[in-house]
Amino acid sequence: MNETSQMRAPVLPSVRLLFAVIVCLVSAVLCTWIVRQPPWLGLTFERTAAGVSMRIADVGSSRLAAGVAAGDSLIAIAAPGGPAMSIGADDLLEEPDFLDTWAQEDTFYARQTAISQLLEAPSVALTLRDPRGGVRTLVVTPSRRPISSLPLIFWLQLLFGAAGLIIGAWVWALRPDDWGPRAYAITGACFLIFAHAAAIYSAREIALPGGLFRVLSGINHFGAIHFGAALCALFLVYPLRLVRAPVVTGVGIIAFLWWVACVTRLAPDQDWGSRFPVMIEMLGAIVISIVQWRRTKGDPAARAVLRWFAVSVLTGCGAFIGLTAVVSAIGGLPPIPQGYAFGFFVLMYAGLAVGLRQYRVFDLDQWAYRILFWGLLVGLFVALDLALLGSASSGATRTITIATFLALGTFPIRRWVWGWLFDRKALPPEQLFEKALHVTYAASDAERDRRWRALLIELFDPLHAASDGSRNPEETAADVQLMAQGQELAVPAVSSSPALRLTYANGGKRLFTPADAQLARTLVALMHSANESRKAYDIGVSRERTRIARDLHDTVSSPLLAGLAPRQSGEAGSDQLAAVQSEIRRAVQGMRTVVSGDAVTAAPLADCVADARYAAVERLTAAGVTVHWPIEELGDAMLDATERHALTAFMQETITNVIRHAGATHVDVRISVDSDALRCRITDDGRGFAPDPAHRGDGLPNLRARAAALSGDVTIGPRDDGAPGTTVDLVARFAHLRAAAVMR
Amino acid sequence: MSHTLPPRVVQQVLIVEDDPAMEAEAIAAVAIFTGASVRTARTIGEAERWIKRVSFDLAIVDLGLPDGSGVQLIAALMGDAPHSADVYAMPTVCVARTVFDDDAHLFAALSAGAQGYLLKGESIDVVRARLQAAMAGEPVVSPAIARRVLAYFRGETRPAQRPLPSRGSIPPAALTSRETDVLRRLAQGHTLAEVGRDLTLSVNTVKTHVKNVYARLDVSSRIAAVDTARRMGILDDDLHR
Repeated sequence: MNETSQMRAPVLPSVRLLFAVIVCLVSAVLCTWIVRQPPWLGLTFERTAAGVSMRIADVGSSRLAAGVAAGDSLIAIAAPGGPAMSIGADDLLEEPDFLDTWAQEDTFYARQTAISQLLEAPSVALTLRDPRGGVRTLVVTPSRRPISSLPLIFWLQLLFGAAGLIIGAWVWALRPDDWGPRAYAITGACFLIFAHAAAIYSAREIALPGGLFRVLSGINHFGAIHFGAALCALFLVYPLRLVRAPVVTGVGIIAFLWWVACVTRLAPDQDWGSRFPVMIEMLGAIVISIVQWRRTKGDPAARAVLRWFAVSVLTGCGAFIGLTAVVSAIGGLPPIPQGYAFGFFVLMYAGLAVGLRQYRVFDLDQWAYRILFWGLLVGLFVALDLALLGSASSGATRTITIATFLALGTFPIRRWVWGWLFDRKALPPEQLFEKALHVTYAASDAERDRRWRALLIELFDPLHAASDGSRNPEETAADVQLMAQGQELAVPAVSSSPALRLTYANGGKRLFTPADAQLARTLVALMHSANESRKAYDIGVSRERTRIARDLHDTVSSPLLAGLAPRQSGEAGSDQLAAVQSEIRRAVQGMRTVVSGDAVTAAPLADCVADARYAAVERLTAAGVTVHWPIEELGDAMLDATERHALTAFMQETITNVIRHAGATHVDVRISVDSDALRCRITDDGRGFAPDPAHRGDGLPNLRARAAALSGDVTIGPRDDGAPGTTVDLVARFAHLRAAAVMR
Repeated sequence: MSHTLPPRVVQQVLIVEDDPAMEAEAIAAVAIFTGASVRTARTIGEAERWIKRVSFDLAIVDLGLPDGSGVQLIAALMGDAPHSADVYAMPTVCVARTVFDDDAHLFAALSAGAQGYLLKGESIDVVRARLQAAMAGEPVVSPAIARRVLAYFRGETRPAQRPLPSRGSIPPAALTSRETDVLRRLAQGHTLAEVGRDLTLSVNTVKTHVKNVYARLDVSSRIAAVDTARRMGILDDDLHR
């Protein structure tokens, strides 16, 4: 059992909500279809002030009504030539619940059946009385009722019911495993049931077949009684769970049995059948909410939720029950039509929607609105299409044309809205991991810190993100914490980033929720483990490098270095020896670069230049050459490993040439970076550049190769100022500068 | 304004080096100190026997020796300078010598108390210049070392804190803003003299700042230095052959 439920893919909140939206639409279509079944006269009736006769308040546009004037009263109805059946105000009763006894109800249904049968005939004789008292008879042919003739009260009841179900389903969709939202969603479903059933019979012209009427009334009672039970269940489990699950189920069973007693007329009368249970349930809800109030003492957050919730629920339901059930129980008729009074229930759903953000009812927050909005938009679009379809099916060519144009004309807009509605913007987990890695593997700590903050801002869009560093480290959170009722989210220090405090999520439009905290917690854990693996990697690299260094030392460098041992001066071929030793020194230097890892890592240009300057100054000074090398601002350009090696080697070789061949006493070096290139000029005061093939053979091509690795050019020539000496000019446009140029 | 100390007279030199060719090169380099007597050792054990008997002015120590790391030897030379009843005896100036100039090697040697370092294969002119600088009390600060020290004090490479053997060592503290200024300029490639000029300090003051920083690397005791070296991966167990 458990295994199967785990195997099942989790149902998305959007799917649950969509399901509710579809139920609403199907129910509305069904209601509209049923209400159009009885034949229609094309008249709008009204109970007269005297309450004895019905009155024709409005003459429909239908041709059936020719010869009927506004203000006429209908006093009887008959099959042409048959016996007349008098019509009274009671036949227009909106809700059979207003009758007190089963006998009254039976009479009412019997008359409804009789009237319906008369209307089923091809033509009907209406007996009318005009305001002056004149009586006349009119024979008319009933027709099919058009959708446009359905009264406002019908649509309002459909809308109210839909609102209840959708808002109830909304919180349930987001918190499907909590008892509170479940009970709340059941109230919404029951509200839809009784409102939609009532919508049908309250919108009838005169009569529905009695059997259908009774079924609809039974459905209405089912909704009403179970609505009250769900309300009691709601306060039994929310904000605090007062009872165990079987008690909640028990409440539902009692309600069901009572409803059975009502529809089977085991209950003595309407009072016992439908009014008392609803009132008892209402009282029960009030009592239970008082118990909740006592039990939540010392928990101000729960109390705030309860206060808001109890006020909106009990006001909405209380107003309706006070107005209808109580008034009819004491023998009166409600002062406003029940269909409009259903609007009071909407109060309790609107109350939840409004208070949700402030009190975080059901642990929900502003973010929840987004999905409600989404669901409503989807519903609206489908409803619009149904309306277009409905009007098109009504037959008139003009209507069909308009509907087609509307459908086609709004197509691009609809496609856009549809794309927007179903666009998925949430960060999938693998992207989250990718982003955490992106943060971890930043080149520098400052960059890592920057990326971490950027990620938090992307995820939570806080109004303000500040480091917690000014506070005592002992006080900064070790774990992610919701602070100040969700106004702030404290994020602990991660890697090189200090503890952060994010204030007001979504640019101040919502509070942080436990879900945010969970996300941040996941992210911090992800960052920690990514950091650990980075450290392990670094340590591994460093160990491996140590091992390679040791191996190289044992196997390569020792024999190489042996070649550097000083020899007796004057030994044969000492010039060649010097050349070989210089090559050995270069080989050892290259080995150093490889082992140090400089050969594989990128580095800031400024660092490379600093290293080059230090080495050059040391070597030149040791060789008795003075140096002038002002340090320029080089910005934050980066060199990759190849470029870095090329620049280092370029400087080394140039300095070597100066020391070995130029016979200079002073060297001037300038390195600067502008928007498009690195410019390096090395000027000496030596004997000048001699295009000596012997030296050209090794030096210049080498420098050219280095410059090429930096995407640059090198020129070597006499000094500009005509003084003796050589100038080496390097203009390099390495990758980082090219990328920066593209950005501009 | 700067009053440089007169160069120290070098009388006793110790060269610890297991590679004969490199030993010869070092001997050639120290020939600039005329009149100095030069002793050589191939292992730490041998070197320790010399140290017990002679008070050296200069020791050139290879970091990769057959019986251990030269870092140990430098720490020994700096830390428990032996013997002498001669209270005026100046501590030995230690210069580390290595093939690979990765930061981990040099940093461990410098924090153990080395005044300078030599890279094997460097030209003899550079080697001699370094030795003279070391004898003049000039600490070695390449830009790479300065960057690493800055990173260390920013807490980026700080090893796990552990109680140090008490030698009145100063607990690791943050750099002063002056020290940070000095190190930043050195990291940019400035020489000690240039830093002094830029910050209107004497060269000696700049040197003092650098030495103070090295002293606060909390590896000044022998044990801590060896510890640090091990943590940095220099003293792998199999290096202790």
